[in-house]
Amino acid sequence: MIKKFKTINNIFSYSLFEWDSLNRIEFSDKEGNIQTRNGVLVKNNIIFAENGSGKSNLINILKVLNGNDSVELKKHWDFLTEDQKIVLELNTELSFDSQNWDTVCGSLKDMFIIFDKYFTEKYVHSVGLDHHNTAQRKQERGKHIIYLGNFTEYNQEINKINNLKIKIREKNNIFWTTEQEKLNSIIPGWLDFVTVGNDKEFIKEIDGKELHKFPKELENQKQELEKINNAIKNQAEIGKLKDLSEIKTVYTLESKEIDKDGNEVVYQINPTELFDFTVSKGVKKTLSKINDKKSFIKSGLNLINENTKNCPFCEQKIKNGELLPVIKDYQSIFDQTFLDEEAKVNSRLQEYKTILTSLRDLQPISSNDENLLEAKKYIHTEKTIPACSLSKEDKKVIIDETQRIIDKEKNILNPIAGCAFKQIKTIIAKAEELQNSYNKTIKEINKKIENLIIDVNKGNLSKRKIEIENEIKKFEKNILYINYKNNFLSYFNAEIQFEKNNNTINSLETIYQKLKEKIVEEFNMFAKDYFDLIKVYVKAISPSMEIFDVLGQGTYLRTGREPAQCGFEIQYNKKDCTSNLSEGERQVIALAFFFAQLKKETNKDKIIILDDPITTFDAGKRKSTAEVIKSETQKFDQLFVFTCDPLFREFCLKEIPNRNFYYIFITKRSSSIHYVPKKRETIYKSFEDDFKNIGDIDGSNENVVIYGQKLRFCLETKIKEDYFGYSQDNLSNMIEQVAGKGKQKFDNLIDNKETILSLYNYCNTGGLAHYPKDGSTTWSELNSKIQEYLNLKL
Amino acid sequence: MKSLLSEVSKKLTEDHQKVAEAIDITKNEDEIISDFIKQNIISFKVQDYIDDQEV
Repeated sequence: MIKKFKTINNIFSYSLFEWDSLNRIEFSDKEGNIQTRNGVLVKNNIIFAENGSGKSNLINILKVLNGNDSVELKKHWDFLTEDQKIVLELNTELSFDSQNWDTVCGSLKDMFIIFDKYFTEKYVHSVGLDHHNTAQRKQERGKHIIYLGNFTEYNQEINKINNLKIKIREKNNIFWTTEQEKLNSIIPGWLDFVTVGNDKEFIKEIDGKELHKFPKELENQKQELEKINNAIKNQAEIGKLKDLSEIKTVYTLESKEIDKDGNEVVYQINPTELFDFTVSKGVKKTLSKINDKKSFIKSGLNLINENTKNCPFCEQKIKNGELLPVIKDYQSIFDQTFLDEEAKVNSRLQEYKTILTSLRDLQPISSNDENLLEAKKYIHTEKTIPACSLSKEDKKVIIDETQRIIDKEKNILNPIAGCAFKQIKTIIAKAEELQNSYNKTIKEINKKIENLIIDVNKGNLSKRKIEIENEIKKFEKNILYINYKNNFLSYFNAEIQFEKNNNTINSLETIYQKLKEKIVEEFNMFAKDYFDLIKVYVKAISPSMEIFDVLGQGTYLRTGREPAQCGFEIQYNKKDCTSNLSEGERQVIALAFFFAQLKKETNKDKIIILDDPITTFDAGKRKSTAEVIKSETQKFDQLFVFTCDPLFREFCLKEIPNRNFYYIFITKRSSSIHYVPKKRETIYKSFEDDFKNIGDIDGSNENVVIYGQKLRFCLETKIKEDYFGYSQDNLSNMIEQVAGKGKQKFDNLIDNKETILSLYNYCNTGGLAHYPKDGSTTWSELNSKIQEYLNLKL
Repeated sequence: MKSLLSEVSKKLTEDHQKVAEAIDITKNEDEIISDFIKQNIISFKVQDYIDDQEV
């Protein structure tokens, strides 16, 4: 509860107002003791003020304190460079000055509920809901009966969910874009996010240990591509390519012969046996001696058998057959069998030599180099034709062995030592291995040449090129995936998180939609209850006024960033009359809406401000309004009724209990709030008391203004209210008041008509009513005029 | 005044309800987002991988 507007300095017309200096009243109690009181504000306060005296300025101050930032607390026109100050006395003292001025607005935020002309303008207009055009609807915002009520909080709640959703979506998009950009800085232009997504499982499983082989394979594919491109350009040349030749030498020690029965027999060449082939020493010596007589001896020997008694050569008797074995040896030497054996040895030695020669001569086929060089223009192969020749050591072994054969051949019966057959077998194995390796390479190269020729013949080169390009991409992709596996896995994690966040956003959207449904449901329930109240108060304020129907459901318009606002059409006899309301009807509806708001208000600690709620009302409505104010405001913490209307003032003073009465008046160059004790509530009576004590007053220019205005007020208000019942609510009361005044009083009024009008003109034309501070009107002159007024004894 | 959200929350599916219940409507949007992050409902950080080990 506000106890005092203790200080208001330099705000609007309040240039210098100090509550205590104006409202301190001394009086004698029943015991004759001097008591003081400063007329502090009470629960109910009626404040009367004429136009221009500072009433609206005081209400504006309260609006600013209430948080209305559309009102500016301007400085007094004479003190534009001076500081401003407001001191309010509540339970504690609140002081605002230039040091903390920014805190004024909203310092008592939402502490006041204010009804003034703006309330009517804001909430009751004659534009209906049929303006669906969004732009126009926004322009006409508030031009319906509107309530915000507690839905402001609901609105904040639903807006919060919506903003939360938007913020998370923004953050999530930034998060995802950042993660994509991170990966985008890694992946080449030919690789897109869709492919990466498709390869997700492959990337997860790919083994980094395989990385070492990919670059080599990639290089091979690139070279393959280069060759294919070359082949595409020179297709005519491909057909001229020659196959490479294989080495087809056989090193087998196995051979075949036909035996005496005509059968083919497989035998193994055994150089050791061949080299050992010989006869005894005696036979060898004899053979040496008869070397040139072999035919003769052979013929003679053929004549000797078991029964031969004499030697065919010397004719001597063969002793006791003792020489027959020797003779048989000789016979065997010259036998065909021996000759055959000797020939066989020679033949096998020859075969063996041939094998050794082949071994010795093992080498690549020279034409292959040239053919390969030509083929390599169009095919890629890492293969080079192997050297395919034996080591020097091996060749030495072969040469030595060959020499042994030659030596043996010279004298077939002469055994040759040092056969290297075991080593030769090893060398044969080596040679076969070399030859196989050589031939394998040749086959592979030939296969490539063959495939290339097939591709050319079938027109497959372009297709092959695409296959290789795809292979290259595959290798490049695999290398990329391995090198940046962690980055890709992080990206996949981000993707999961992005989707998870999106799920939350979707949840918030669902919640948001449910809240919208709920708020409309709540609104509709609330609206019906609310407008039933409006009807009740319309009836209470204006019993004779037709009750308007508030049409159907309220609408909850929630478009874009608009706050929740609710409009209703008003119908009378089922016709839309929102465009035909009179000013009085509008004000009745506005007041009814205001009281409905008070009824709904759960915080009864608030202070109710009513600024002339009856300006367009007739006397009956003014009285009923005072009654409704009395009944509907008493549960609240405090009430201020501001009015410039004497009749409404009187109604309020009569109707509202526990009230104080104040009068706003310009004094000492400043609007000021004056407490009017109950005994002096007729203001002009209090002023007349001041006139009687004028001798104690300082005759300053300011007091000339103040007392000049008081004089004008007394003349006008006293005659209007006291003689003609201006403040009465109906004609009978006015007539009663006029009659009660008595004829003699009116005679006095008529007799002094000239003097009265002269004094009234003096107050108006002497500049007194318009704040003369230049001394053009003197204190003594004003004193004489006041004395004239008192002498009239009105 | 009762919270609309608490009224609506009862009629949501389990997933949506989990989100709704994590919202302290008295807090501002940034504070609610912080709560969401603490409760692992949303996140704007990705776990990095180093040497195939999630860290």
